[in-house]
This record gives sequence, C-alpha cells and structure tokens, in this order.
Amino acid sequence: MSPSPLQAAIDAAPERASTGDQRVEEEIFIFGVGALTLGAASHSIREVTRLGPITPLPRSPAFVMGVVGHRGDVVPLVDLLRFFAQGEMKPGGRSRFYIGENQGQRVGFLTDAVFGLRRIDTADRIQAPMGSGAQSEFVTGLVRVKDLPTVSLLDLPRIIAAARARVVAR
Amino acid sequence: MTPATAAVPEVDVLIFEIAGTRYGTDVTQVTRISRSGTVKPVRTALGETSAGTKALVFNTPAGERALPVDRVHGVERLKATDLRRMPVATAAPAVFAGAWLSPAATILLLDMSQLVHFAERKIE
Repeated sequence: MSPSPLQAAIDAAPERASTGDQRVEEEIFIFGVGALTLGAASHSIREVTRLGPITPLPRSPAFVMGVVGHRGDVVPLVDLLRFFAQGEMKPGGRSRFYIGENQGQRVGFLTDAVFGLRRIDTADRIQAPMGSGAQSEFVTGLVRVKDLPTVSLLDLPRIIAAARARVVAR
Repeated sequence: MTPATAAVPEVDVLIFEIAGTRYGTDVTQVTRISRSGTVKPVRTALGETSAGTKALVFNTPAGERALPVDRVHGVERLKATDLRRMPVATAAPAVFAGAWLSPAATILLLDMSQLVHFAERKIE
C-alpha cells in the first residue's frame, strides 16, 4: 500500500529548519530626537502619549527636564539629547513622550517625532561603529528601515539604569 | 466602618509661586506670610523671584527664615489619595516631600524644615 500524499510529504520533511529558513523578527518603536532617528525594543515601551505640563525639578541633573503627572503617577522626564551631550530638546506642540520601564522604575522620554512600530529581521542589524558619539555605549546596533534614515537601536533599560545612577551619584 | 466608607485623610496645603512654577507646603509649617525683606531670607534653587513682595516665614533651629515668593495662591484642602511620593528614579532632595497631581499640573510639595539645607546649586 503506497503512502498517502500527506504521509509522503511528512516523510520528506527535514528534521529541523535550515539556517536560511530561520527568520527572527523583532518589533521596534522608532522615534526622532533632534536630528537622531532612534529605535527601542517595543517591549521596553509601555506607552506613548501627548506631553502635558512639565514641572521643573530643581537641582536635578540637566538631562532631567522635570516631572509629569501620568495616569496617577509622577514620572521623571528625560531629555535624551542632554543625556547624550548632543544639545537640548525644545518641547513643542507636536512633542510626545513615551514611558520606558526598567526594574519597576518608569521614566518618560521626550520625542520630537514618532515614526511608529516596525518589524525588523534581527539579521538586518548591523554593528554600530565604535566611538560614534556619547550615545554609543547605549546603542546596540543600526538598522535600515524603509523611508527613514538609518535607525540607531537603543538599549532603553540600560539608559534608565544609567540615568538613575547619574542622578544618585550627583 | 468598612474600608469603603473610611474617611480619606486630608491636609491643608499652601500653594505659592516662584519663578513661574507653583509649589505647595503643609500650611502648618508656615508661621505667617510677611513682606519680603523683614526676615532673613533663604536662597534656594527654586529660582529667583521676579515680582514678589511676599515671603513665607517658617521656623528653623536657628530662628525664623523667610522664603521669598512671587505669589501666594491660597490654601487647598487635599485628599491624601491625590498626593504622591516622589519617584525613586529622580532621587529628589528631601526638601521635595512629594507631589500633588492637580488637574492642571504636577505641583511639588516642599518640606520647609529641609529648605535651609537646599542651598542654591546648579548641577550639569
């Protein structure tokens, strides 16, 4: 008795996927800060929202713009340009901020533009050049995305931890 | 009494303004509101007053001190449920006892007893 077409196909199937078939994708949140186009893993972002009134927090490091009230919480707001020592951000009518979280600590980050979520193939990541600015230690790689400049992928939890360390160390 | 009917603690907070930013403090920590210049002032990093002629007078172990302000907005009776501790991530100085999530903006609440330790200092 000859095997059925399904049985024949299963018999012919490989034991495991070949390397060429393995496509691992990740979802990144892409945003603009000054002239920089940046991205972060979407799972490290809790929310993106409009910017409300910022309350200055005197005697905090320059990269802490202040605090904002958000869904019943008080959240510190970080200026990434100041954090990277590349200038300073100017909040405007189109400004948004997103909430990042690391070990239960929520931090808001101001953005000038939100480009949304994109799925990228992890194989398309390229290594960031060494010593490419103050932010290089927080950049995990670069990726090209259609219709956008090259995106620098940030390690957001590491930025939150480093910001916390700088605040405490002052 | 069930938890649902338990009274929420309330506190009277004096709201004032310095350099365009509103702050609050426990009204019991303010001895009186005076003309600025009559009591030794404290210089803080809260900013310079621009149009203020008033000062909040408070007691310290070294005697009375005054915090010059631009404007006194009055006293608000706030529910404890509307108050928040400062986020750990800010490592805020002890002078910032917490914050009031007012409908208009987040208002920092000052502990006047810590104000004399809050000397003016700029950090980069």
